[in-house]
Amino acid sequence: MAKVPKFMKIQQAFSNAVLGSAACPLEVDQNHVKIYRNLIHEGMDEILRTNFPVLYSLFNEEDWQQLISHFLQTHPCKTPLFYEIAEEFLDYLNNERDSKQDPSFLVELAHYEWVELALDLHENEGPFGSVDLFNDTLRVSSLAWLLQYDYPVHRIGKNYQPQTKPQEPTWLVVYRDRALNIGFLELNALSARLLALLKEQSITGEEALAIIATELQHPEPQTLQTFGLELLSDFLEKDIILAAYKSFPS
Amino acid sequence: MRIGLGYRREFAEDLQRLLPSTIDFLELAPENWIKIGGKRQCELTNLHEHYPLVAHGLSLSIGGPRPLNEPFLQELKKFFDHYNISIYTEHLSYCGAKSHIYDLLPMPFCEEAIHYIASRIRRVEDILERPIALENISYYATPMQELTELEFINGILTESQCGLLLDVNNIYVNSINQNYDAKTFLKSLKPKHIPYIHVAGHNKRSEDFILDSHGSDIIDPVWDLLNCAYQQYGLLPTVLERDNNIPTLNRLLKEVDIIRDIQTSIDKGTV
Repeated sequence: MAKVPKFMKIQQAFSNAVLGSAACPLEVDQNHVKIYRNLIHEGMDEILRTNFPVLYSLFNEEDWQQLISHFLQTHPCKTPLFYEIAEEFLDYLNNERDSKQDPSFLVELAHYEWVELALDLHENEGPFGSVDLFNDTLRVSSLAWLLQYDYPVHRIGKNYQPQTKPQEPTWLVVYRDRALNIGFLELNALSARLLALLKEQSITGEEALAIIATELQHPEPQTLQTFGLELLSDFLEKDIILAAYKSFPS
Repeated sequence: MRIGLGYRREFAEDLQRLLPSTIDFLELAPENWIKIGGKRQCELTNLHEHYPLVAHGLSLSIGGPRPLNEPFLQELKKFFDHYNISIYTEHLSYCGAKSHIYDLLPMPFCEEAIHYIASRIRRVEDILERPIALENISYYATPMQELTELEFINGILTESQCGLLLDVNNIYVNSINQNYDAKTFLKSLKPKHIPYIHVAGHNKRSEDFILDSHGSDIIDPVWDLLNCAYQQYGLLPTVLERDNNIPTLNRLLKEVDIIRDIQTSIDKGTV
């Protein structure tokens, strides 16, 4: 193996020191190391505060600062893109964070806040043409993310912090419409299943509703079709579903 | 193309409304704009319709111990091609070792690092199919000084033949913090090419310590140094940077006017 040049060893030691994960073994003024440590900490503090405002609001200042330090010291960030730091932070919460004081919904809440950011910057979708909900093969927009959480993350805030996991999961679809605005819809078991089917299979709205009627052994499939069509219209209006890409005739 | 402004989203609305003609181009950090869609992409398309763009990167880590991030460089190239960006500048520094650090760390000043960086510059330029220019950074620690800062920078410029993004504020900040003469330093640089100059404000923490915050108005000694740079290296395009305590666009345009006044006075030979 090639010998690591001396200057790289210095870079390694200095980097560890400014991240706060080790004292600086070099002949560098500790006050100078501290200047970098503070700059890096303040920069990350601002980024995470802005990207995760609800999460931030649940911490007291001291715990929040400790969280930033621990993130910097334990998570090996890789992305060169500033807007992807939020994703690095999610990785950290999933893999390196280990605090008994954290509420059990913390990771889910952070994920939900990240989804909004990610969708806002996601590459574009379209075209948004006209759709026959019953007869066209449908697809779920790449900008509509079907999410299942243990906690009602969309309601969590300073004044609502559930201590125990509710019995029913929370289904949400977070989406970006053609006007580039972000919205979310809370789903129930039926609407979540409908969207999931359209995501998994290349089928029409009518076919999806027929599958659900069979699954539920619904006594009145016609009522389900009518109700289902209303759901689909709402999804369509919000640009959650689109007509599937037409395949070329073979 | 004589005066540029470092673009900040804080003054996006004012800029779109006023479209000031005193600004000739905009400088932006590609790390905030590549691979995106949505509202932010619309914002960029709009800017691109009204102003030429130059890119000033933050995450290349040209002097860093990790291998160059080539997928990232490929994305940069696509971005530059799409928005007709021909000028790409970065920093003579590195962004951490094992973990990417979102800041600019001071290079160990040594011969070995010069050869290492010069070879990486060639690789970057090959991938981007564009020249790169590196900025003289401000720094607050000196982890290794086999060479002086000046020897180090000149070593890079000579061996790699890359351009220098001449940052006069950084020279001023370092001259106070590292205790040397700013004008002598400025005059001793040996750039083959300077695509443009940076000016900015800083934050004076004490008599002998300045933080390069880009968060205040520019002070007279820095204007003086800009003047000096023009006399030494010619009337070069100049970018005003402001990254903190961002005032109204109108207030920033007053500083743009000062740059123009200095350029005009040099042009007329009145200085």
